[in-house]
Amino acid sequence: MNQKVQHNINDLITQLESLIASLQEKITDPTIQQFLLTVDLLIREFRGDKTVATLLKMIQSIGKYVEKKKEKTHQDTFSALKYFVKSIISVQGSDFSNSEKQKLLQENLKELNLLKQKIAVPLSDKARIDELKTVLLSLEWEINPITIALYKRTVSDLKETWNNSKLFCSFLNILNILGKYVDHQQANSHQGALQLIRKIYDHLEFIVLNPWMPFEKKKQILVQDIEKINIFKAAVARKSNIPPQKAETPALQPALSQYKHSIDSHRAVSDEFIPLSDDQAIASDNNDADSIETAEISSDTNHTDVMDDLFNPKASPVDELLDKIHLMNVLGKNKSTGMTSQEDDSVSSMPGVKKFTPRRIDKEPIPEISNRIDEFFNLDTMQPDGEKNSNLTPDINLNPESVRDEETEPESYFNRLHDSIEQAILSMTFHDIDHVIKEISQLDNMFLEDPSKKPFIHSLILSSKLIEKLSGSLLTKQRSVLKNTPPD
Amino acid sequence: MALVNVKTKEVQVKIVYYGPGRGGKTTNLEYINNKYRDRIKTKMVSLKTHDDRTLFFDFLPFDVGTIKGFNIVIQLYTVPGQSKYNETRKVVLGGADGIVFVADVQAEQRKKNIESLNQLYENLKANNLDLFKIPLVMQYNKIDLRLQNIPVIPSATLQKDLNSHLRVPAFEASALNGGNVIPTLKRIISMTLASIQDQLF
Repeated sequence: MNQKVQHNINDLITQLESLIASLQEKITDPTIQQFLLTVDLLIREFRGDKTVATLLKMIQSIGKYVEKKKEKTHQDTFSALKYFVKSIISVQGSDFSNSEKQKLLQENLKELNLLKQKIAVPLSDKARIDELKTVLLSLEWEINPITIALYKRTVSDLKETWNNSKLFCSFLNILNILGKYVDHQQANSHQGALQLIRKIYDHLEFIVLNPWMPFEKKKQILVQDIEKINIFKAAVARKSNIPPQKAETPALQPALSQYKHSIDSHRAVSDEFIPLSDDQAIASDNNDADSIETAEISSDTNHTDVMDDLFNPKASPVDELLDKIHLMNVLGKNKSTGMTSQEDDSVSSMPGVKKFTPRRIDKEPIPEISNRIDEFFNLDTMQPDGEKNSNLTPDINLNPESVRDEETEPESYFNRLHDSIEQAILSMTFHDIDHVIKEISQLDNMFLEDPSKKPFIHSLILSSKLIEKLSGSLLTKQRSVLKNTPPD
Repeated sequence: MALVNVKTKEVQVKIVYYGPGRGGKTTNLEYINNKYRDRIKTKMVSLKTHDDRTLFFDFLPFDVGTIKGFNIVIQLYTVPGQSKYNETRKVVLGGADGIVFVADVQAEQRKKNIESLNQLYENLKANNLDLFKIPLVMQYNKIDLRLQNIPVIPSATLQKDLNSHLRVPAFEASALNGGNVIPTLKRIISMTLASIQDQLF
């Protein structure tokens, strides 16, 4: 590691320590964002150092927890953060042996687990509230005598369990009243009943899972909920005073009717419909499913371990996705999606990686795509030993080597750029100008690792930026001319 | 979004099977995995609850070979269908390049199909994706039930319920027996690749 890089790392670590101290004093959004950014920068610096990277991931997870909980962050969080930073300082750039690094990691993991235990809500309460949620979801799915009976029994059981908490019981009383109403009215229940049950439940869940919340705040939530139920009662009473009208069963609205405004009239449409004959529908050629891995779900911990598995090495997209789902529990719903895009960005910012957003278009695939897919899914072309694609029909368009020669040689890129520039000069349309810019961008990728071509490519990119700006200002001018031209 | 590594010449495409609970999304993937296990070679990963419902998602990656010098890797995912897992569905949909909407043709599932498709619109929107623009194929699954005298929704009704605004290719299917499973998959892969072919090939 050169001195400049080491200097930069030292600066970042110092900054991290100072941010932890600031957070301990007062948690503000800018500080926490700065903290997460610093951790992110350090993770990038230590991408090749598994030990430090793991420690940084632990810090990042705790950072996300602080971001979520803000002033409700557990007080021991900061001492744990300091402990991890201290470990990073001791191990980075040192000549620790592998076993010493392993020992250090284990000690840090122990510290993290200790913190997690302190943070976690006791399983008993968490499990109880989760059980109620499951019952509630089944009620939302379908109101029937079974789901209603289950709901009423669960609420009643919870009242018995939490009989020492007046606050919890008050929420449960409200849920009980609403349950009785739904039971009585069944499918004719007021449309707001289930929504209200869900709101009351959400508040109860929040209070149960945040035991350190000030009592006054909890009480305030309860008072608001009591007001809501009074309003609901009044609405139901008004409804029952209205003379019954002729019952009408509304026909089902087609899906997406409410989003019709989003439909682009120029979008690609297809009326392709492929039926399945009765013979095909019953002809079974399905085999056993013994090659499918099913993950075991363990539930033998004493606490809810929402950060479980976050620190394992990420071997596949499955691990990454599972992390996102796990983190969703730590960070909350919206935050986790934010993190998702951040990670995706990190993948796409890797050298040579580009993102394309597929759009439904009214265009047939090129023959090479159709041929390749047909060949792949045609089992007749498979060898008895199952060697993939080894005896697929040779296709001159599909031979990777020949394609590489023809399509990916530098000359081919330059030829295409040349053609597209000529086309743009002739047509002077934005579409063709855009095409030139894309070709230049492809050249940029082509010569990513060729330093001798860099100045040349750099000039090309600058030219493309100039073209882009010129075409943009031209478009603005055209629009302004059109705007100022009086109608015929 | 499709990830293209111009250095390694690899294109990664993510297809998500979406639809109401117990509609046959996992069965689609299981069929593909079993039928093409020698060709696919990678293992399908399925994260299930104790009662065999999808908990997080199913994942089946495979490599279809090379097109114009680019190696094409397809990643198939399913989402958990149960209503309580909507947040997981949103996460799994992130970065999707193509969607197969697996509807259940049983008469009693009509409303759930519609609700699920409406929810798909919202969940894609949360991921900055647009159901009216993303490559999409409809699959009307369990069509074999009509032979067992179980009431099923006529395909014309399904088209009206689910496809009148979208107007995308639709397939009747029997995932359990493999009927139209592969044509559905082929269609969504070719639609997705066709949509990026101008920029890529």
